Amino acid sequence: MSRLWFFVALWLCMAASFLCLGRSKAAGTAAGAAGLEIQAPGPGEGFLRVPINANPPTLDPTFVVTVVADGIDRRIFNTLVRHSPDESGRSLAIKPDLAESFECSDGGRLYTFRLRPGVKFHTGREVVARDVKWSLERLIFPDGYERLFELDRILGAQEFREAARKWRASLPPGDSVYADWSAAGLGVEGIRAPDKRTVEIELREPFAPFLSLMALTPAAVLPKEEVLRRKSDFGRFPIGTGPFRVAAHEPNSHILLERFDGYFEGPARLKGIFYRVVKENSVALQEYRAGRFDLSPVPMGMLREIKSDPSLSGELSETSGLSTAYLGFNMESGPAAGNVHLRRAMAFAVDREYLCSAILDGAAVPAKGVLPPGIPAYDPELKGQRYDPDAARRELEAAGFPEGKGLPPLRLYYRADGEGRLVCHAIQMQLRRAGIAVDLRPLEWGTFLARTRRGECPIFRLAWVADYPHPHNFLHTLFHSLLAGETNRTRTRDPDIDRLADAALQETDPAKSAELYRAAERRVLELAPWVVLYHGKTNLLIKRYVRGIRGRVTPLDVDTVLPGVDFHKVEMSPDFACAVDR
Amino acid sequence: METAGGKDGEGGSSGVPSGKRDSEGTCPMFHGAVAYGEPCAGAAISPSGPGAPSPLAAAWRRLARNRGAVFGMIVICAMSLAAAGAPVLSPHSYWDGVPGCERLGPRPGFWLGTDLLGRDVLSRMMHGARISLAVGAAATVLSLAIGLTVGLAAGYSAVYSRGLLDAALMRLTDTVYAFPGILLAVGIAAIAEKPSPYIVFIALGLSGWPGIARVTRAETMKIAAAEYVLAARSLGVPTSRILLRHILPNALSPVTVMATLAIGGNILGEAALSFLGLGAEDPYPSWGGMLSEARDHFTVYWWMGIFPGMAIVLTVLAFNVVGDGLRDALDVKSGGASY
Repeated sequence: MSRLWFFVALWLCMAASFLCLGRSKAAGTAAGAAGLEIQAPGPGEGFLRVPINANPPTLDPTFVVTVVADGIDRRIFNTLVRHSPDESGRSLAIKPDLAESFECSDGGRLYTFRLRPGVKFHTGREVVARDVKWSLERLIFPDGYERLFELDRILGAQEFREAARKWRASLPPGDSVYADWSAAGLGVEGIRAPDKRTVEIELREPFAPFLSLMALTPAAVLPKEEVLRRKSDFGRFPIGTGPFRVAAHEPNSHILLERFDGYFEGPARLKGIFYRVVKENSVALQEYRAGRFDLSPVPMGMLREIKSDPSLSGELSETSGLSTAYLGFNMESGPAAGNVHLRRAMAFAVDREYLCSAILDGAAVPAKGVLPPGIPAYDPELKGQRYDPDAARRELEAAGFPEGKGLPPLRLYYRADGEGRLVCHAIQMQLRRAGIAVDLRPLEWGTFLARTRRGECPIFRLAWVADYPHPHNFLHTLFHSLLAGETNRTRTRDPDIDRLADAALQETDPAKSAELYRAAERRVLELAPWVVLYHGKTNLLIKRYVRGIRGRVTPLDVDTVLPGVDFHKVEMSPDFACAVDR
Repeated sequence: METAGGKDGEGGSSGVPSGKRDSEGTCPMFHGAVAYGEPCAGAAISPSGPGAPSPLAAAWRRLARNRGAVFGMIVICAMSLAAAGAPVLSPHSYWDGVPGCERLGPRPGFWLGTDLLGRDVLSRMMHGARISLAVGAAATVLSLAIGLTVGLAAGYSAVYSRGLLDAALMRLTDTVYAFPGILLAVGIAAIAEKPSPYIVFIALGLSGWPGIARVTRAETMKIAAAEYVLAARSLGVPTSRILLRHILPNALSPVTVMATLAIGGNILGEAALSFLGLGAEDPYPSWGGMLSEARDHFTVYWWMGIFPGMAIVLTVLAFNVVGDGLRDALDVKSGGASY
């Protein structure tokens, strides 16, 4: 008998401590963290302390694949131009960075950049136009950054890659990306450095988003001699031109950046930035509350609680995350392929407000169209897709299934783990109310991606996050018939969309180009290969004493590393001490 | 005394009593062995004269005196009833939310609250119990099937042949035993491209048998050396019959205890796999999956996680105390007097 009581008591103790843990502000002082605590800069030492959820595999910008690495590299490197908020503060525009001026001529085929004088690498050497040429060629080189495949539009890029591939085959195997092709006489014809401060880039044909590509972190300017000397170690201790440089880098633990006093815009106000790996967002939040971080992500589902907490709600910062979640239809085969009314019926039957408030807890905004807020051609006035049960009923009747009669259950595929799961549960409920029966088919992430790419999923739920903030990256990349079966997973083939997206690409006037993209977006919504669901938001907590981040978080900033924020101007306010005591 | 026989029959679900009655009826050597006081575990030493309570009835009475075990059995019965009757008894749908009733705390109508989509937590838990109990039991049966086969073959070959089979089987057992069970199960479940309770049951069953095999082998070796087995061999009784009729029934009692404990462990394993998203098929609920869904909202909507968590703890605890009780009840030497 006593044994039973012992069990019950033990169980109650466990339940109680579990509850307390969730509430306790001092949670997280586990012994395991103590080792790191010694090295971590304390509050008030002038270091911004930022949690990161994973250790970046490399900081070499040419091979950056994670958001975290992208954000950290933003502090270490500069690009020719950068994305900054425009006058309205809501969309992004291209602003000078390493290039003090840039112009586009020859009907959109030739870009000329004039470099800022006196810019120095962390080693003290001055940046010259040849560095830009070599850095961009490294992206086109066979093992370069494949997400920038659009750089193939540069004159001579493909020829360079072919020649480089042959040349590489003649080398001994190993670190071929650290070999110097320029010494072997190879180079991209369309990238030229006529003098120390001028870079010319010639394209095969006009390509409107080109400057947007040049603002991406992988297009950073690198010192060739350091890359070749350090080889793969360059990924741990990279050398750039940015306001900070790497002082310490311990994989799976932390990265410490310190101020670079020779930065061309003047030394940063922070002494440095301390990134520490914390895998769980909820743990990062606990440590933030305990005063061990100056920034924190908002864990899924915690937004409501944070907003109701007077001490935290004032520290919250919300921004668009440049993403669109959607239900995609296979436009080649399956029940929805030839039936536009069925697709529209489903678009009318989904209550997006409900998804955003009930499941996503306000971490997303309902979508009306394909483009998320923050993308230049985003149209806030767009009518787009909306929840309308009556219209859904009419469309279902037009589809030949009045009130869903005769419609076999549709198979909805999605990733088995992650936020999309509950969203799909809710969509199943909502569609069932409209008379459309849905079978849920969760799949493991890799399998799911492979099967949607092969066109084996009649309906699937996915989200697209912009590679670069340009409408081309949505309306061309996701719907152009040339890319059907690749990034165009719905396999949409529509001459109108193709024509509008192609025309927008040739148009050098941004206003006219935006109009064409909006027309393409309206055509997509009419054809309904997608049921647009919601746009993700970035929610961050930022301590009050940190100045220069709040209100400057841009749509590029999807993580605590804030790639779009200019950290050069961030500082800790002098009333820091009292802020900590609070 | 009067109900002993009847109760025996009721208790037959565990498989022990029927097997034992069979062996008593068909193998005269059995009694002989006991009469000589051979230490054959499971063959309860008891006065076997007419009118005296059978060993099983005595075990049952010891079990019924153990309040922890009775509590456990009541919990298991209640959970099983809730699970079996879920389609009829559950107050709401397990997949369809009630509009406007999202995130409600426990209250009349929704006794354990509702989740993010307005689905009744109680109804989902009742349906989840089906998965938990069915997978827990089925995985244990699979483990038993493998473990008993391996254990019997290994133990018998260790005594009556040169033991090559024993060595091979036991090294295999050691190999499987060396893997952390849940890791092995995650590995097996990950091979399947979509989550399914069948995969979980196979994964848990395939990772849970080594313990049973070891205990069965030890029991088999002990019993195989008994004189009634020697006698059966000398009479030319086929090996399969010796294994199934003479050895297996007498080896069952420690295995029964192990199996009862294993059900609890498998329910826990199922919850862990569901928590990792490898369990029930959407939108069918499972306790572990509900816990996983509630994880992000634990400090605010505590009821979404606390109740499925309590159900897991309570059920596993119930199987454990019943297993403990069974051990005490079946172990003659301790006389079941520890309570």
